[in-house]
Order: sequence, then structure tokens, then C-alpha cells
Amino acid sequence: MRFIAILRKDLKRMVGDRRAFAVNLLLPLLLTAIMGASFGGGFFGKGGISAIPVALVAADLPPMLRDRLAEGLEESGFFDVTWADSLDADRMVRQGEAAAAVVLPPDAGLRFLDGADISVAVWKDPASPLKAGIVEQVLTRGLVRYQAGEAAYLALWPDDDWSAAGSTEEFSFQEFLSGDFADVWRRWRRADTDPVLAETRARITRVMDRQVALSDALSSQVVVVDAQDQAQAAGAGEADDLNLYNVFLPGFAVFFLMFSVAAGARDLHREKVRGTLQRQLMGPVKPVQILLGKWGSAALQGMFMLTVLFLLGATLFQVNLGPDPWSLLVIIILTNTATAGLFLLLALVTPNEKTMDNLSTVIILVFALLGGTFVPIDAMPAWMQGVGQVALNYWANLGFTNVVAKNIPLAEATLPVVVLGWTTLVLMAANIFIFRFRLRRGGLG
Amino acid sequence: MNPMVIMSMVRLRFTRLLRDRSGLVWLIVMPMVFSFLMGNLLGDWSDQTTNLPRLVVYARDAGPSAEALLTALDGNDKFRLVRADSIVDQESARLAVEDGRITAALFIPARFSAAAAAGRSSELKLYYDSDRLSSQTVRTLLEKSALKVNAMASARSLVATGAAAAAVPVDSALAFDESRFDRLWNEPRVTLEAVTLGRVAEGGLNLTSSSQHVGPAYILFFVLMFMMVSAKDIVQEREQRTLARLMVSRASSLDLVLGFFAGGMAIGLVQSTILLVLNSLAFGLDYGDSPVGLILVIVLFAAISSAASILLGSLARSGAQADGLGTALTMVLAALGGLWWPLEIVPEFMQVIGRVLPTGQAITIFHDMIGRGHVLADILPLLGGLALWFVVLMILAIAGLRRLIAV
Repeated sequence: MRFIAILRKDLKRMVGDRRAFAVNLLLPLLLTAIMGASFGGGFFGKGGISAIPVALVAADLPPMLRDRLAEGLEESGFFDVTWADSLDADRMVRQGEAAAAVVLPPDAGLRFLDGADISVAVWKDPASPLKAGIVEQVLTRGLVRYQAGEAAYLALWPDDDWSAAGSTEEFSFQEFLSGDFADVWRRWRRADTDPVLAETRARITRVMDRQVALSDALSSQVVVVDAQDQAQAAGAGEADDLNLYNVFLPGFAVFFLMFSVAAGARDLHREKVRGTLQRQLMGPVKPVQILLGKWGSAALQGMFMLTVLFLLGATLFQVNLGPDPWSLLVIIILTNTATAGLFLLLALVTPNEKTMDNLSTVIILVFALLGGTFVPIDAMPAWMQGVGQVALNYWANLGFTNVVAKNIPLAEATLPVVVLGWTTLVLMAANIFIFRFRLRRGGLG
Repeated sequence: MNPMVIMSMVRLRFTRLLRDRSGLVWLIVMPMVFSFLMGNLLGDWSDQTTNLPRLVVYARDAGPSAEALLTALDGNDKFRLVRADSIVDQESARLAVEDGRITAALFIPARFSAAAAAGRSSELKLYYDSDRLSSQTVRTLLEKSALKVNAMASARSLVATGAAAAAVPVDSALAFDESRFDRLWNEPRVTLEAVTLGRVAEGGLNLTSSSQHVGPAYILFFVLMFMMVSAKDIVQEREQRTLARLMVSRASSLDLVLGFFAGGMAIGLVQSTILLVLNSLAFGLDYGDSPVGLILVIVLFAAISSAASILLGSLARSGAQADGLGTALTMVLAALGGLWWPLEIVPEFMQVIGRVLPTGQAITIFHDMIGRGHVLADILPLLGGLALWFVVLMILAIAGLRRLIAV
């Protein structure tokens, strides 16, 4: 009964500052909402990369080809194309108005028809490496299809390589196809009587027949790459089981839980400074009960906070509460008992509240970084995953990820439960030992 | 205005700071630890091969075609090829890509090599994320490998055989010249040449690396964080009645406001300077070609942080409140302003919100100076934005502190 009385007293003290408590509740929700808005999900719609602004320099291309090129780039869904001259494109990229510029050489159209070498330039914005890199990759994929087709064509019909030395065409493709549609049509008809034009027309016909044949052949693929874009699927709502809040909310919840529990454990210093701890020690209560009261109240406060957070998360962001009613509850309880144990230990070994304040914040931030609050554990380098295992967040996040994000029952993923449970026991044993030791040495007086 | 009072308050602030050694951890050690760890998490300053995003390959075939395919994907500087030792189901792999644990997952079906040798079609399944550069690179390389195989097989199917070979039709060929194909494949006529504009091209700097974001971002974050958690000092001054003592001295309310402001700003400037130098020495960070621009952004950001700290300290009713709100505001401003992740990866409306905030403006100035080589004239609009934030926050801080003094 005395223990319950102490627990109730400490709990009342801790929740006394309702505004601080509200901040600890609201902040994880707010940051979860920001993460959701930034990376997509729920009512924020698609996150991630939006249409990438690209400047296109291709002044010499015939209007029909220019339009086709721009349409092709925009249809890919990645780009927002703006036509520009090379000076403008350079300025746009350097100012960050475009992530990249695609620059065709001045006589690209003619060189293409002549079979000459063409180098398409991609100017990338150094301050936008991701978007500029994506532009380069998408263009590379488009270009490599053309390169494959051309290599196959010329390996089959080497005589059609009119860029090769010794080509003796009297009338080139570009001359035949120059002008508007009416000009080309007139040449086509005149070829009935003009032998030079007739030869070119025959050649165009032959090349086109071969192109069509090759195109048909290329459509039957030996190796089919079925590339499924998860970013697009998520944006289109096709991945109906994807809810990034299931990952974000537990991470931030544990992060702010640590601030809240640390504040609760700091009460030991306040009671010492105000002399109320000494008064309790003189009373009929056992010293261990005082310690357990502090630990229990800090853990209970955290449990209440996490429970409310998950309920709010389920209501606001459709956060999953696990495959059964008790898996999440067990992880919440063990996370809090271990966290309260850790910060109580810190309160016992630090000389004053200020030092504990600074040290606990350092621990919370480093643990958050190593334990997977900011970056998913699986995405970390191997050595950091190893080091991260010393962080309490690591096991708490792993437990929550299993239950909330992966919907795995606790019975099928017991390691975080075992680690958090043992951590609680070890920390509390250490706390009791240090508390008694300091009491004997008069260090709590 | 009494400069002696203001100087005394600045001196007092520094004395307190130096006396509390654990505060120095916050000021210097933590930002450097964060820069190092985040740099590692994002792929810099460590063994590149182990830190890269993972392409996990689930191969049910180990024949020559599968090996050739994987060889083309091996040794890339954007991702790391990992051959999974067990086959997972495609749904689990898809989820792993979706939540960012791996950059892509590739499934090679059983008897893939046999099918390729016989010219039979077989399907590779690739789960990738178009928002990730490493993932896009995987797709490009995989498609390139597949294209080569497909183009060669398709071309061979057009070689006339049997009776047709006697009189080759126009859409068939006498032979497929593989060596010519290889030469054209390796030296294509139409090529793509990608260059990065700005300072990287000339200086050989590693400006596209994440360190150039992480370093400045955590300088800004911890300057703001330190100032905001220092807001509780004003609350303590009020609670311990030292503020009342100051008020009965020769100091005017303006002296007190300026004293608090100058103290905070001086600490912010010292902290920023030390961190800029340490980041430069430890991680080789480069801050661009505009020292004046660098000084101005640091001065303005320290001023904004100090003014915000006074405003918070004058509004909070308790130390715990100031602490909680200070942490909350810092985190929200950091997340929205692009200090935790570059603004370029978030949707347009989030970028707009970010660029309105002082954190977003300050980190954009750093990006512009470091990457784009912007000089003072180019960053003036953003500096103007920071100046506006400072004026607004300072007016509010003066009003808040004067109200506090008057009570």
C-alpha cells in the first residue's frame, strides 16, 4: 500500500505540468504528419519526387520532332519540360530553376539523318543531385534502346551504314526529307521520273522495311524485365497495404517518450534538492519502495503517453495496432519499463539535474540516430546496425516495426521482447544496488 | 542604452556557459557526432561498398546468363548487389522496397539460363523505387543488359536460313555480324554526356555527396537547438528573481533585451564558427566562393535564433514548458525547412513551406553557395528573407520581454 501511495504521489507530480505533457504528446503526431506530407501517404497524397523541371535545348530539330521529344519526356511522368536556348538553360540549371538541361547539338536533326556521331549533353544542377541523377538515368534508358536497335540494324545490314567512309550517295536522306510534308510528297512523286530521286526513294523504302522488320523482331523479347515502380504504386494508391505512418509514428513516439520519461526520472534530483527525498527516507517506507515508485510512475506516464499516441495515430493516420490486442500492449509496457530503468540509472549516477538534463538529451539523440528513429534500421550500414543494438530505441523500434508495420504477432518475433525484458531487469537491479550503495554512503542526503 | 550593462550580460552568459562543461557537449561535440553519423547513414565518409543501398537478388538460377546479368550489376558506385541466401516471396520484397529498407529487389526465375540459350522468353521481376537514384540506376543497368541480349536474339532471327537464304528478302539479312554489333554497342553513335554545372566541374569537389548537406544542416540545427533550449534561462531568471534584481539596477528594459539578445547571438556566432572550421578540417567541407555571404547567413541565423529564444523565454511559464516548446519548435523547423533531408526530395507544396521558413532559407543559401557557386548578389533575396524573419522575431521578442519586465 505504501508503494502504491508513493507511486500515486510521483505520478501526480509528473503530470502536474500539463503543457509539457501535451507537447510530448503533440510533437510526435506533428512530426509524423510532416514525415507523411514529405514522403507520402494518407490524405497528403503522393510524396517524394514531383515532376522534375527540365530545360530542353533542341532549336534545330524540326517542329514535329521537337514536339514528339517534349511529349515523350513529359509522358514519362518524371519531367516538366521547358524549351530554352543554351544560354537560358545554363542559367536555369545554375539558378536551380531546372534540375537538369538536355542539350541537343545545333545540327542534331541533320547529323542524325546523315548517320554522323551525336553527343546529347545533360547539364546537371550540383545542388539537386537526386533529381538531376534521375533525369540522366531515364534519358540513358531511352537512349540505350535506340543504341541497341541501331547496333542490331547495322550488324545485319552493314551496307546501309551511310556514315561509313566511301558512301557515294548522290542525294542524301536529309535532302530528300527536307522542307514540309508537301515538299517531301512532291519529291516522292517525282521519283517516278527522276532516277536519282528514285534511287533515294528505293533506299528509304528498303531501310523502312528493314526497320519495321527489326522493330517487330525486337518486340519478342528473350529477357523480359518487368519493372514495378513502388513509388508510383504508392502514389496511385495501388499499394493499399503501404502506410508509412506505421513506420514513422512508432519511431517518433519512442523518441519523445524518452524525453518524457527522462523528465520523470529527473524528479529524483528535484526531490533531493528540496529535501523531500530525505523526509521520505526517514518515514516508515522502505528505500527500495521509493525507488520503485519513481520507476513505476515514470513507466506508467510513458505507457499512458504511448497508448494515447497509438490511439490517436490509428484515428488520424490509420496506424495499424497490431495483429492482436496484446502484442502492441506488451511492447509498450516493456519499452517503458526499460526506458524508465535507464533514465533512473542516469538520475542516480549524475551529480545534479542540469548534468542529467544535458546527458539524457545526448543519450536520447544518439540512441535515436543509432536506433533507427531517423533512418530505418535495415537501411543502415552493417557496422551501424551492430552498434545500434546497444541503443534501447533499436529494440523498441524493432518490436514496434514487427507488430505495427509488419503485423507480426509477438509470439513469432520474440527477440525484442526478450531483450527489453532483460534490459529492464538488469537496469533495475543496477538501480537498486546503486541506490542502496549511495544511501549507505550518505550520497542521497 | 548602456553598453556596459549589455557587455556585462554577454560576459555573464559566456561565464555560465564555460562553467557548465556539459553545455559544451551540446555546443560542439553533438553537432560533430551528428554530422559524422548522418554522413555515414547517407553514404559518405566511410567504406563506400558496405554503405551503399542494397539491390537484393533472389536468383533461382545460377547459369551463365544469370551470372552475366549479375556481373553487369556488380561493382556499381550507386548500389551494392546482395545475393540473398534464401528466396523470399515477392510480396515481402516489394514491401522492403516500399518502406526503403532496400533500394530494389530482383527475381531471376528458375531455368533462366536454359531459356535464354534456347531463345525462349523468360521474365525478370524488378521491384524498384523511381524516387531513388540508386534504384533508377539498377533499372537502367538491368534494362541495358536485357536489351543487349534481346537485340542480338532479335537480330539473329532476321538472318535468312534455308530456302530464303538463296534470295534474301529485303527485310532479312545474309548474316549477323556479332563483332560489328559489339563494336557499335560499346561505341554507339548517339551518346549521352552528363556534366554537373557549378563549382563541382571546375574544383573537383565532391559536391554531390550528402556531406555537403549534412554538415551545414547540423550546424544550423544545433545553433537553433542550443538557443531554443537556452530559453529556459530567462524563465529561471524570472523564477529566481535575478531578473527583478537586474531591473532595479541601472539597466533599462532596452539594455536587458539587448543584453539577452547579444549574449545569445555571441554564443551562436562562436558555436557556428567553431563548427564551420571543424567540419572543414574533419570532413573537408567547402563553403563556396562568397565569404561575405557565409558570414551574413551565419550572423542572420544566429540573430534569428537568439531573438526566437528570447521570445520563447518570455512566453513560457515554466522551465519544462520552455524546454518542451524549444525542442518542439526546433524539430518542426528542422523537419519542414530541410535540415533533416534535402528539400528537393519532398513534394512541391512542402518545398514552398520549407523555403518560407528561416531554416529552409539558410540551408538553401548553403546549397547555393556550395554547389552552384552563388555569390552575394545571387543569395541576396534569401538573405533578405532571413533579415525579415529577424526583424519580426526581434520586435516580438522585445515586446514579450518588456511585458515580462513590466509585470
